[in-house]
Amino acid sequence: MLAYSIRRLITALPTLFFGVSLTFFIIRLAPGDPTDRFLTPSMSPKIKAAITEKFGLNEPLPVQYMTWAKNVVLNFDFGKSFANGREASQVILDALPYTLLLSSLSLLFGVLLGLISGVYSALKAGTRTDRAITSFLLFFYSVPSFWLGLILLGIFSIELGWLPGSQISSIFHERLSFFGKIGDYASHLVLPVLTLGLTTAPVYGRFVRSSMVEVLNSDFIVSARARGLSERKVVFNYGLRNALLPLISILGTSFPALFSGAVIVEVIYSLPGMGRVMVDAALGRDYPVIMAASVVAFIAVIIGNLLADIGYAVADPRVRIGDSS
Amino acid sequence: MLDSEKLILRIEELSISYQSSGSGFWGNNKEIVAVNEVSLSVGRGETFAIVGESGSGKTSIAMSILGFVKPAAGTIEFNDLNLFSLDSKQLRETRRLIQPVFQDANSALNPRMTVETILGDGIAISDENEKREKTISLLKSVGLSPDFLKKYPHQLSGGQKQRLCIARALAPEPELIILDEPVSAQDLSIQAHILRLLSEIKKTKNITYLLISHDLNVVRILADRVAVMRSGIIVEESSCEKFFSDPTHPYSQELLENSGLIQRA
Repeated sequence: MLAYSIRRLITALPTLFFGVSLTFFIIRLAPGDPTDRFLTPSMSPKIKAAITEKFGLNEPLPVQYMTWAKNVVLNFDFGKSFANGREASQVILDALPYTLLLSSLSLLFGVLLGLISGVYSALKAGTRTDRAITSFLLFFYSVPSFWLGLILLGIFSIELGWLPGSQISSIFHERLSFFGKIGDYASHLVLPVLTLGLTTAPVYGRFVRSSMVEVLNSDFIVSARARGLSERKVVFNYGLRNALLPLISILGTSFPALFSGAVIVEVIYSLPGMGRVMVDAALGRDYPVIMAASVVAFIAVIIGNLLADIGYAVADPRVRIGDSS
Repeated sequence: MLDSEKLILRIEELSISYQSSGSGFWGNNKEIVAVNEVSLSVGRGETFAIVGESGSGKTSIAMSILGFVKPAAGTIEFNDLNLFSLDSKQLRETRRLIQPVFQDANSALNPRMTVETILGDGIAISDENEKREKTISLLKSVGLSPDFLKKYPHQLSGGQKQRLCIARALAPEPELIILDEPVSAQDLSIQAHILRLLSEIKKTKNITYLLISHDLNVVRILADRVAVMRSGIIVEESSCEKFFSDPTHPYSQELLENSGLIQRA
């Protein structure tokens, strides 16, 4: 398994190389100019030329690319942000923890909610309960997250005043005890996690339901029941264990989202996450930050796929990977 | 008619209907009658075959004997116990005496369990060593070697899987085995092996078979008595010899002609 993972990661290197290189050229070929943000109509072209030279954008593209690639590979240096001069890697590292926290909690909540409602729905397939759950899930699948986010914000933060509606922590955060700090983060995360979780749960819910219904109809379930096994054992040991297999692959594809963030929710709740960093960087043509964020995203996709494959091999005896037999 | 003391299964005026979940979100349910007032009796130790094309209701009868489909009307008595008046504990114990073998062994075996667990789950022995011995003897009784214990279903061939299904059905020591198209998914040479195995098991263990099949060749090899079903009713019931030599109902004659077993006179 370990040998397999290492081999997979090594073979993923060309994918990473091509993906990142393509991104490098595409964003530079896209319309827009990083110097635009510094210019006013009254400035002379000389100033524009000076800024362009300062950022190294006067060089031919291949030269720019080679300089960038050399710095990244040799010094792990992604360059400085055009917007504020900070290290691009530092900009990403600052935003990443918040995004990881928000996305992983939301994913956990969404998957749990989807799992419970999906299994329950499958056990009650075809009944009113099943339809009620389906309607519930369909509602949250259909509403856009900006709408849900604003409604939740309006109700729980503004009208009722129960929960904070913006930022990741309060202004007096530094003065709180350790557990007070955790509580402070938690209260700030409730609404964003609810918004993100509720809008992702339907996907998992419907997926688990259909997979579970299919498994529960298979002959091995009938024969397990015929052998007098308890309903609990039939549903969980025979049913759920098989129904969850397909979930591994969608979890694998959800993995990169843990790192890329959710821009809409981050903007609504004023959270300092990756989504905002990436959108700001893209709008301002902040090439170093865009590239650093892309590298993180590419690596996340590669690792997500690898984790899904390993997960399958662990969970499903029919799947064997590498040279272990 | 059979002597009532020797009956293992008696079905009286059984009717089964399904709510077809209609299309659309609210679903306009329609009722479909799958089995219409069917009565039949199976004697202990015999092989009773129900033949008919798909959709004739034969599998519905099997599922209601197994307790998975509640009939709209009628009774099913197993060992003189009405299956629909048992409490859940009695039902669970009685169910163990009626075991199914299905057509598709791929879907009938839990892909995440080893052969040992698949068989062990049906054995009501808690002692691990005894359980293992029983598991091995079950494997041997269907012609599989103990080497298969640690294997998963996907590592077995089609014929081996079906043998495993038969061993699994034997694990709770049943009195009645419902064979639902037991060899239809196998190729011809495997069919012959499985049929021979089924005949042997019946001889040695004194088990009753309820055979459900559309394949009259299989019926002729295994069955003592035959009932022909069409659109939810039994149109003919007779001994196997009489059925194959002198079928009375036109539909039975048609079935036999289509299977190439008799020529039209």
